[in-house]
Parts: sequence; C-alpha cells; structure tokens
Amino acid sequence: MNKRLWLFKGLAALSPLLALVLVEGLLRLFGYGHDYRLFVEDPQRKGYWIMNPHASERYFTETDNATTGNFEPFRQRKAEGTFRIFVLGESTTIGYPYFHNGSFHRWLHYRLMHTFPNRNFEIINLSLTAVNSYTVFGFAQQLPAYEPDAVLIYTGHNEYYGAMGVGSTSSLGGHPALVRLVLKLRELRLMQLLNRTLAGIRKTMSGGKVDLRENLMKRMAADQQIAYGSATYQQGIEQFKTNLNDLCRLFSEKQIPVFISNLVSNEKDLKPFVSAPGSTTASAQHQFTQATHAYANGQFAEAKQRFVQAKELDLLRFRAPEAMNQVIQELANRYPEVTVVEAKAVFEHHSPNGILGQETLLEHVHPNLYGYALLSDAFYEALKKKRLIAPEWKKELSFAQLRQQMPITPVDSLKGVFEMLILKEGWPFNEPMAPEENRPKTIEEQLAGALVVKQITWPDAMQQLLAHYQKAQNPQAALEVTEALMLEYPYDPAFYGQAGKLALSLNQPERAVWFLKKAFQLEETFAVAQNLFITLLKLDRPDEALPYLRYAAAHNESAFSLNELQNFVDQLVSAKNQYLADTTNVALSNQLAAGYLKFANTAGAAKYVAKSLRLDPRNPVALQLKAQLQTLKP
Amino acid sequence: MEFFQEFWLFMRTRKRYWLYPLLVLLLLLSLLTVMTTGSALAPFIYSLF
Repeated sequence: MNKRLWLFKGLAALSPLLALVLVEGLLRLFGYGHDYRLFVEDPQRKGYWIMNPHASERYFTETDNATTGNFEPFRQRKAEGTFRIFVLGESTTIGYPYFHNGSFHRWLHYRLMHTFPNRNFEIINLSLTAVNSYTVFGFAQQLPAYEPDAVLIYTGHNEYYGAMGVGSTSSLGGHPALVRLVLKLRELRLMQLLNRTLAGIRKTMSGGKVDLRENLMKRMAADQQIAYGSATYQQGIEQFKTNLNDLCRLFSEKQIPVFISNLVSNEKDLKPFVSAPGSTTASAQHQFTQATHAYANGQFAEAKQRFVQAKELDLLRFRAPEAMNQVIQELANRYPEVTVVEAKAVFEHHSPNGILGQETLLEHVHPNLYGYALLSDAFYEALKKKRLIAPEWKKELSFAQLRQQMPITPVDSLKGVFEMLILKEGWPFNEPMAPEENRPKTIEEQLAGALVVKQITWPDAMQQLLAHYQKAQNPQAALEVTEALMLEYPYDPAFYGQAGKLALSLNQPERAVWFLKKAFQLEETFAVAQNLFITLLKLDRPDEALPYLRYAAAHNESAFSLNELQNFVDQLVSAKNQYLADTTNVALSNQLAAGYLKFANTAGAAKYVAKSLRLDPRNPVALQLKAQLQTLKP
Repeated sequence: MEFFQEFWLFMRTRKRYWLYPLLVLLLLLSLLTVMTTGSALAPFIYSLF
C-alpha cells in the first residue's frame, strides 16, 4: 500500500508536466502560434528557401512590433559552383532607409557578379531593423545546416535598445543566459499563448493609449539613459561579447569564414542626443562644442578625439561605443575563421580629415548611398584578401565602376531623402521639415513619396518607373530600372532578357551578352539563344556563339533554316583558330571578313578587312571587301 | 481499472501533489515572460533603427 502511495505521489508530481505537454500538443494540432525556424519553403518557388516571416517574433515581446526583413530565395539544393553568403545584422545591414538595392549586400552582389561572371552568387540578407546580437546569434545558430561559404556581419548599434537589449528589456535584460532561455522557451506554443495573454492584459490595463507618442518617448527615454561606464553600460558590452563570442566559436568549429565589420557612427555632424548637465569633461555636449571649435580651428586630431568622446558620453546609446569595436577585434584575434572588416578605416579614409559626418552618413548611424557603397567595398576587400572566391581576382569591377554602374534609381535615392526628413522631424532629432516647394512633382518624386507612406510597394514603384521611361523612350534609364529589378529578383529570367534587349538597343553588345547569358542559364529559350548568337557573332566570338546557335537550330521557332549558318559558324571557328595561330595570314583574314559579310555581319567583316589592309594595304581582295562593306553601311 | 480509479481519487483528495507544481511552473514561466518584457519605449525607439 505504501509502495502504491509513493507511485501515486510521483505520478501526481509528474502530471503537471504531462498536462503542459498535452496542452502544447493540442495547441500545435490546432495550429496555434508560429513556427520560429529561420527558413521555410518559398510558397512561390518550389525547391527554394526563404526567410520565415515569423522568425523574428521570438525576439519581440509583442509580436506586433516584430520587424520583417528581406525575402531572398535560395536553392534548397545548393548548385555546384555557387558561392553562398549569409548576411546578419541590423538596420544598417539591411540598408535603411533605402533597403532593396541601397543595402551594402546588393552593392557587393552586383560587384561580385560582374567580377566573376561565370560564378553564381547567393547573398541572402537576414538582417532586421531593431534587433541586436541576440537575434544575430539566434539566426547564426541555424545557418551551418544551409551550407554557407561565408557569413557577413554588421551589428552593435542596437545592443542597448534593440530587441531583448539591456536598455529595452525589464529586469532580466542584463543576463544573457536567462534571456536565451526565454528565447528558447518562446518556441513553445504554450509560451506564445502565455506571452499573448500577458500582452493582452497589459494592453487592456493601459487602455491601448499610444497617441501621446512624443511625450511618452521623451519621458521614457529619460529612464533609458545609460551613462558611460555604468553597470547597464557594462552589461551591454558583456551581452554583445557573449553573443558574438558564441557565434564566432560556432562558425569556427564548423570552419565557416566569418567577416565582422567594425562599426561607424556620425561624429562631427550629430550633436549628442542627451547630455549630462554642466560643462565638465563628462558632458557629451561640452565635448561636442569643444570638438566643433577645434575642427573650425583646423586642430583635427583634437577634434576627432573630442567628437568620439562626445559620442561615448551621449546618454542615449543609439551609437555603439568604441568598446564594441574592441570586442570585434578581440574575437578576430581569438578565432581563426573570423576576419575584421575595416569599415571604420574605409569611412575615415573617405571623410574630410578622417572625421565621420554627413559625407558618408545620413544621421547617427545609417550610411548614405555613398556610405553603403563604401561599406560594400570594405567587405569586398576583406573577401578578396582572404582569397575565398578565387585565388586571383582578375577583371575586377573597380569601386569607381561600381559607383557608376550600380542600378540605384532616382526613386530609391529620393525615398531615402524623404524617409530621413520624416525621421528627423520627430524625437530625438526634432528638425522641422522645410515647407514643401510649390511646383508639380516629378514622377520619381511621386513614386518615392508613395513608397515612403507605403501606398505602393517597391516592385510596383519600379514597374511604374520602367513604364514611364519606356514611354519616354529613355532606354538608358529603363535599363537601370530593369537592372534594379534583376537584383531584387535574381531568379527571374525575364528581367535579364529585357536588360539584354535594352543593352542591345543602346549599342552595348558586351553588356547585352552578359545579361542574355544569365537569362539563358535560368531559362533556355529560342529568343534568348537567337539574340545571343547574333550578338556574339557581331562581336567576333564565333566559338562562344556556337552552342547558342546549336540550341536555336534545335529549337527553331523562326521561318528560316539555321543549318547553313551553323555550318558557316563551324567553318568560321576553324578559320579563326588557324588565323589566331598565324595573325599575319592575309588570306585567312580575308576569308573571315568574307564569311561575316555573307551573313551581313558588317562589324565582324570590317574588323578583318582592317586587319588585312594593315598587313597589306594594296591587297585586292581586302580592297574589294572594303568596297562591298561601304555599299552596305548606312 | 482499479489502479486508475484509485489514482483519480488520490488526485482529487491530494491536490497539493499536482496543483502546486503546476502553479509553480506556470508562475515561473509567467515571471520569465514578464521579466523579459520590452519596455513601453521599445516600439518607438525601434523606428529609429
């Protein structure tokens, strides 16, 4: 009897756990709550992963506040020759306020795909606004299973006030182990139910009043002030160190290269948000005023030191303290797979007197478009130094070329400007907006304005812009927009094909070939193959044209037979190979010119006629071909 | 069957063996949730970064 009593006691003690398991099971069965794993299958593209739109909810107490990021699909089965990069971080990392192609990872993607045209790059940005190293670490833990070739990280500015940060979370904010336990528990639907119930109670008790936004923010920000060197300040550093250290150890154990950028902040063009009263050296405002005077007097070393000190002393910690950069450097020293990306040095190099300000940054931490290009350059150089993609980086797209070619449309650029005007009008910047100009708005301004107030989506804005440029017969601008869409939708062959046609209309055959080859890789069609072989023959690259010609002949949709042309190109390839072995052979040069002329390829023919006449200015065959060419040319 | 009947009787009469642990568990989970709640400022400052 005693034995049975003990058994009952044991079973009774276990029953609460069983009850919770049962409730958890029932909640899952009836589809309550969300699965927080990082990737889910792309509903629009079978065989591809995309970031789970609910993945971030785990990090936000009230899921309504949870931010969502990019949805950049990547293949579930990594294709051979693909270089896969994951990007982790915060608002700067996702390109705020431009997003889309303004983000540094798109600049990097564009540059890498032009530097290595035959490689396939998957650069998947998993960054979110308002998050910090907890989210970065949480996401990072799930990445090794998805075969990354490198992981790029830019994080640190949100450490205090970002989701679960020490400055934005009550009581347990300074205890990473407990915060992680809670984050783990939030995977349970039961915990999600509890969370929502408590949030509902809070909302009911507060009466749902949130309209006193400005005053509430000011009042609460006063409670959120974090003094330099205070306990909360140190907890923030510890939190950052713990999360990033575990992240670096994880990737080092898995031998995955990690590139962590040091952080940049506005130094000279942003006065401290909140300063300690008085004019002592502990006052951020005092340091800032002194720095401004020193700068005006040309004492730049002193100015730099004081500007940085002003940032360090700012009681509202929207800018990461320098200690974060030291943590990043220490991690790189400790873990072999970790490389520091010297963004700070790059920004300093491109700022007057090495002091960061409005030349590269929009406000406290977010770069302008030039700044994002610089950030991408810092990562590019770090990847290159590590020789990850290839041992030698030949035929690179230079930084100057990148800045010139990167498809940032006027709408993207204006959207950033408008977004900034709105942001700076409110707390804690409080910069009144200039009165609106009394003039009709351009289509670009209209679209950017609609984007900022979320009247339209970015793809819709781009499609409308494209339609406008096409109607206005501006193929150059239309190509830029098409390229922008191409970067946003790297698996859509239609944009590559369209870009190819536009490049041809702009008489840019080399660029056209690049676009068309990408289009053909994604989807083999007769139309693209036809454009490709014609353009490649015009460029005198018959060996490259041949596979596309063969494809076109096998899938011929035109009324003309391509067999004769195929035979001709076969002969052309052979003749060209002979010619390349003996470039002084005028007969061969003439043969190539005549061949091209037969198929009305005047560009190819002219090239070889010129070669023949250079070798033998009185060569009768070459002269005759030249005369024929002149009759053909308009 | 007799075993389950006896157990049920035990559960009904000795609630402290299962009710208290259940309450403690729920209290602990709630406490963790409350203690990691974002401040009311959080949604506003999120818009800054």
